[in-house]
Amino acid sequence: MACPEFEDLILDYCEGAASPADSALLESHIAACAACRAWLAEQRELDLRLAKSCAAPALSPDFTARLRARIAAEPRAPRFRRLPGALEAIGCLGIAATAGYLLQQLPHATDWVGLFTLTASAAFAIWETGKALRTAHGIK
Amino acid sequence: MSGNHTFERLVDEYRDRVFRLACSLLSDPAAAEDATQEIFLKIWRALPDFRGDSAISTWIYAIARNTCLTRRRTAVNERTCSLDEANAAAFASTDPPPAVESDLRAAIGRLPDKYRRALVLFYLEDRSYQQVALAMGLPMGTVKTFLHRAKKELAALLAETNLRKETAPVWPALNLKI
Repeated sequence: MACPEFEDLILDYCEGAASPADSALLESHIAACAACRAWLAEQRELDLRLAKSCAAPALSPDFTARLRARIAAEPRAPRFRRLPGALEAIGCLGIAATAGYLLQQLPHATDWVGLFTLTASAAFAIWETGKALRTAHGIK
Repeated sequence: MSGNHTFERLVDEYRDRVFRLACSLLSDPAAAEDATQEIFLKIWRALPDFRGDSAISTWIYAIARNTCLTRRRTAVNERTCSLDEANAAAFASTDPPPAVESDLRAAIGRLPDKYRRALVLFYLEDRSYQQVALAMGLPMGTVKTFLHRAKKELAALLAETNLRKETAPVWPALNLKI
């Protein structure tokens, strides 16, 4: 085993991550310490074995062609992905605003039933359109 | 620039890096390639919604990690053999392993998962701390700590294996009671 205070420095040194000052410090230490010298040699050998063992296999030559084929088979993305959400939001806001306004007007309203029906229907229609678009294009 | 053009550029730039990450997480090149296809399909589907809140590389690696980890969980649930065993057997190179390397593979298979992943990825990424940190979504200091712990544990495991070999009886049959 190496001296515990030099272990990380030895690993940095093997990985080429030690600063010039740290490298000089280690070199002067290993000149006098047989245990650290042996551990450094062991780590260098391990480094070479790992580099050899961890060679990355290559992707198949037809990887990109297969990916293109899979993408071509995908359903087309809708052009206006945010439109259904926006319509639903407008519809909800319309319903809420109508309800709020009518509650305020309730004591002196004359034809509030008709007004409520008209506005709420419009808001509901907008909201339903958004929902239908979302279903048609498979947007979650 | 069109969406298709942007996607093609991303495939060219990231397919090998994503594949290496998948290799380190799945340990099987065929499964890693299949996962890489799935990852790029997900990227294709999600690209129109990418708002640039993070760097595109961070976003791509997050999709890659999540996809591979989901696949690993599914594989673990489906198989009866342990993941460590599978990792040790299928680790890294596709060449037939020389006999001397089997000890190394077995020792790597015994490392804790996060250390093994950092170690394998470090060598797959040509000894780049930065690439490993990006791929694993960890700070560079953490990657370095994992790597050093992995190497220390590996050295200890290999020393233990060598010691066991040296002290094993040369003719085990002679120890049998007749």
